[in-house]
Amino acid sequence: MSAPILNEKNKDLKKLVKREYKEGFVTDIESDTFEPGLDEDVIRRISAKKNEPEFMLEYRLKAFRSWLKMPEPSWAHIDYPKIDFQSIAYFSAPKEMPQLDSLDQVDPKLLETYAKLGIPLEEQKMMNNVAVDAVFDSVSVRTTFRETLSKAGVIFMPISEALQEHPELIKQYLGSVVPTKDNYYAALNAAVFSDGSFVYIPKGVRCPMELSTYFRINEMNTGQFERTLIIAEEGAYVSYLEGCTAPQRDENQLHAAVVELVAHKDAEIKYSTVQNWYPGDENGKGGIYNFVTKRGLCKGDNSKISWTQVETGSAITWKYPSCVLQGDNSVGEFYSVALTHNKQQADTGTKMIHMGKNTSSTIISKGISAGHGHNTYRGLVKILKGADNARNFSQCDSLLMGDQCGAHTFPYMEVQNPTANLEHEATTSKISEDQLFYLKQRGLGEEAAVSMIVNGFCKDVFRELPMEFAVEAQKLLEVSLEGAVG
Amino acid sequence: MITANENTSWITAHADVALSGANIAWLNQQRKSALTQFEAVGLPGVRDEDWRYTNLRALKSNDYALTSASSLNIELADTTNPRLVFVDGHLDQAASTGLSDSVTSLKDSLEIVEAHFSSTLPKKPHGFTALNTAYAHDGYVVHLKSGQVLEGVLEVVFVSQSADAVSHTRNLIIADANTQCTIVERHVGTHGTVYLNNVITEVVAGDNAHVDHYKIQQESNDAFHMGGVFINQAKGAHVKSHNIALSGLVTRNDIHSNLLGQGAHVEMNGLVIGQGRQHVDNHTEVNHAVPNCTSDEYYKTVLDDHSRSVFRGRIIVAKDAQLTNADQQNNNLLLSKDAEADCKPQLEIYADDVKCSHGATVGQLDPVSLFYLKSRGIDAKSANALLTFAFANEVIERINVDSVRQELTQIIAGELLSGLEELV
Amino acid sequence: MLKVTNLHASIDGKSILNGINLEVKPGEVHAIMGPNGSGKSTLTNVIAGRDGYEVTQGSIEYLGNDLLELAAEERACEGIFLAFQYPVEIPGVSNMAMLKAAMNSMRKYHGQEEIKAGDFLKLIREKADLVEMKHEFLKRAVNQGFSGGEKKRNEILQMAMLEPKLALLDETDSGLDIDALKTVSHGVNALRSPERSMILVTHYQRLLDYIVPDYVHVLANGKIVKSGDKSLALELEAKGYSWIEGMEDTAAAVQQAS
Repeated sequence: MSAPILNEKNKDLKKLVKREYKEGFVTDIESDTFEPGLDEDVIRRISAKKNEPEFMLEYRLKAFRSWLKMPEPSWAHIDYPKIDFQSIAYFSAPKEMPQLDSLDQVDPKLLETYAKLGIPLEEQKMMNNVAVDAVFDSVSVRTTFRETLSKAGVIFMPISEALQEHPELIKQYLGSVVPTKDNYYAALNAAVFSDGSFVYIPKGVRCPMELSTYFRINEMNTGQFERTLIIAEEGAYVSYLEGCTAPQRDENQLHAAVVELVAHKDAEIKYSTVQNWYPGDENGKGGIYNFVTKRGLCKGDNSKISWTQVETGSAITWKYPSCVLQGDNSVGEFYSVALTHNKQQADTGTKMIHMGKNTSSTIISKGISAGHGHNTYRGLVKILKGADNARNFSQCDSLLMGDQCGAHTFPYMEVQNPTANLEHEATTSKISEDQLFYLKQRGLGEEAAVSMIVNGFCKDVFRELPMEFAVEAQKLLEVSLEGAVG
Repeated sequence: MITANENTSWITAHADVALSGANIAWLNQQRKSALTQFEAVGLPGVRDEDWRYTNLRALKSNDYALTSASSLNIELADTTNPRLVFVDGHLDQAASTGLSDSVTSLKDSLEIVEAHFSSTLPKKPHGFTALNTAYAHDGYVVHLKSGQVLEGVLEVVFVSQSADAVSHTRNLIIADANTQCTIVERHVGTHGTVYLNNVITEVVAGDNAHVDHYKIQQESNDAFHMGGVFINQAKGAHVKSHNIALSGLVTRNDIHSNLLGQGAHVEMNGLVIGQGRQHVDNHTEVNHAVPNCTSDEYYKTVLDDHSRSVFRGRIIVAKDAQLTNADQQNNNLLLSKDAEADCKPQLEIYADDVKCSHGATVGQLDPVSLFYLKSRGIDAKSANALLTFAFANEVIERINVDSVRQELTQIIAGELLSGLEELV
Repeated sequence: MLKVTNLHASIDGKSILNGINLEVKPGEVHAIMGPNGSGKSTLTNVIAGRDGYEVTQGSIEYLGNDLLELAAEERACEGIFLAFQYPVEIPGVSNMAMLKAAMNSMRKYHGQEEIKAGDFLKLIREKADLVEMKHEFLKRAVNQGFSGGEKKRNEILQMAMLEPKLALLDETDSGLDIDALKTVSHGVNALRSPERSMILVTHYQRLLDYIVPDYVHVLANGKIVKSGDKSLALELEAKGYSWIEGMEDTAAAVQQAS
């Protein structure tokens, strides 16, 4: 029987559940926000606010001047009205935010916000062994567990503070993986970023806990441009988690972040993201435009960088976490679940650039399209001439739910070395009627059956996430898909 | 866009030569709009996404002239099949044996092709395609009326023998309902001669028509081959396209099929044997426009020396094209440290009840198989040659016409097994 | 337990069942035999509530209620189990996870508490031993990469776990070698009880050597043309399905006359 599963009978299900974006509330808090608009003066003011060293201002201005000359990229499989970069405010910070020595000094409303989001900043209620940095609009409000970490020699602090305390490290590494001119949004970020997280793991140290940053956009008409920089010295290991939410607003908001990772010899960085920015409503009104540049450099031999992402939010996602495999025997991994529902659009994937010998990379991408969503995998595997014995395996699967959505796959393979071995597979399918009936015959309701099949589809990615995140991701997927069947 | 340092005088120099004497309104109209299209896009460059891996500097730095008809001055192998021979793009009547009511030259068939000319072309053609429409001066036309079967195999040989010649040929296979034909198109030249062969074949397959099209490309090692095979398929039409590229300096092929009627099926097979400085760029596109169609694509590449291959395979499934079944495989074998393979398989799916997949690999011969052969007493060189041949032969095995398959097996064996043919 | 009365059903407007009458009492095992295309699988699918089948006439009563009113998952929760002719593969979902979700869904339906993880493990291991299934199979994705025999064994394992009141076994013997057939039959026989009824659908008599039915029905062109005891199956095997062709005509004639 080949009738579509989404038949008349199932339409009732649509009415059953309407997806609510639970994180859509606004915190009423007094903010110090710049007027919308962007010019060199705004950049000087941001830099002055942050009391930055001179080199940083120069860096920003250089980036801004390149940005002005760059065209906005249009190659992605996404469609959105032109962004007016002059209507965005480039700095917003909760007032009453001097140096924080203890939680008592944090505005209770902020604590409340994070509590509502399920992110405990109070140390006694902390998740098991996870240190948290919380970024609210443009600034970091609180980093927990700093003392425990500093005993191990680990630096985990807002990048704005790192600029004061460790300017030499920032100067050495900032822009070393993603140069200011790398792309349009990276250049913009370099010019205007206001905060983000900085992580430094010294030689031979295995970071004693998971590090985590939660990003929150609150103010209206404010762009969020955070910058994350993680350095793992020789033999170091760190697992870093990132979560994102924003209020429900009718206007689109811009988020343009840059993440740079550097793994030295024998070091390993595991970077996990659960992205749940506000996706807009079912008619495509509102939502975050998420234009993000993430790149890791496996600089030393035997280094490893692993990206895992669960992307369920944002109206537009444009994001390609990549690995440059420079060291011999280095390893790059990319595990991704991207879900688009209603009118969401995602164009995401990865680049694996093999330069060293015996380098290997793995790409597992699972795209789910529902409603009017469009989901595109775009990836590049490049084997340079000197990269002897490079290995890559890529698997890109798409699951379609409903006949109004789309799933697209655009992998690129460029091989300049005959000892390379690359394998790419892609499939597109829907949830089969046989699978649904089988599970129903075993007593499961329609939603439970769909959720079970979707989770099975994503399993190869979920098992890469740290346990707490995996559970969260699974629930998020369930919530995001509510109402998708019908 | 045409840039200042490119030699482009040849492009417009012969505007008045093309299809001389054919003062036909519809054709002139098409030529005019094709020229307008060309002026807008110019010759492609690496900045165009569809040409990013194919550098045309060498092509653009040369000058070309349109030649007038001349007679064949090389010897062709004997054949028992009916055969048409084109020399530098002009039909050589004396050398041709296959002309009939159904098989004619473009010049003699303008009335027949009016309804179909350019009907299969992409909406936004690249510069070479536009030039072809503007300047096409000859080509073959196969027109089968409803129910007609073209017995045996029709061979068409395009010989390029003049240095620095350019030919724009346009072929049409118009297969009405319930017809059947097998056409083998060969492109040959003498090594050492530089020329530009810009050739398009349009296939219009009616309801339940069966068309087998072979394109065997053995151009000069210094030649440029810009080719297109554009197919429209009606209800239940079965078309097989076989695209074998053995030589030429820079080859580009656009093989497109539009599946426009339910139950249509297209099979696209491709083989590239790259040697020397050969560059082959194959762009395939299957457009599933209606429900219940199937497509099956199988492209293989063997690259030696400094050769380079580009494969772009695109599958588009339109919004209402439910129950589509589309598969695409692209396998590349690199034999030399200076060879390069770039591949870009693409799926664009706008319907949900579909089964689509693509797979791509780049790699070497399987070491276990090599060891197995060696353990049976076969020397390393022969084992390598044998497995390479076997890799390529998987495409050849998909050919149903015995004579064509045998001939190609011999050609491929000759290319890959040099001196070891007794192995197969 | 089950009462099928004058059941007519069609797919895409094509009539497949043309007036089935069948009554199954608690503890009884009924075998339904018939040539390919006679409607055997359609009958089990209609009872289990698969989408795409339209019941055009007649009724199915189950435990005194109208079965056709219930959704597929409700029928499952009410104790109807279908062992599939072609068990479905579900990538990424482990056998255990699926069975646990199924058990808990049924418990919730009956207002019971969820099964404790320890109890579940103990139970599933016990039942796996019953069907001689290696425990490592429990962690593998549902039916993915299973051989034909392993899939069928897995169906019986699920039946053992879910303890249905009415089990429908659709061509459970197809694709099994003799050893697998014995194991599967052993599992089924172990599950026979005075409260549990079964309907075996099969093309061959062979299965009935191992699972001995109380009644045998022969289906042809969507109708039961002959019913009897175990000996009917043997007779059918001896005479071949062509034997029943004559009966259809008779049945049709009888029906037209009435």
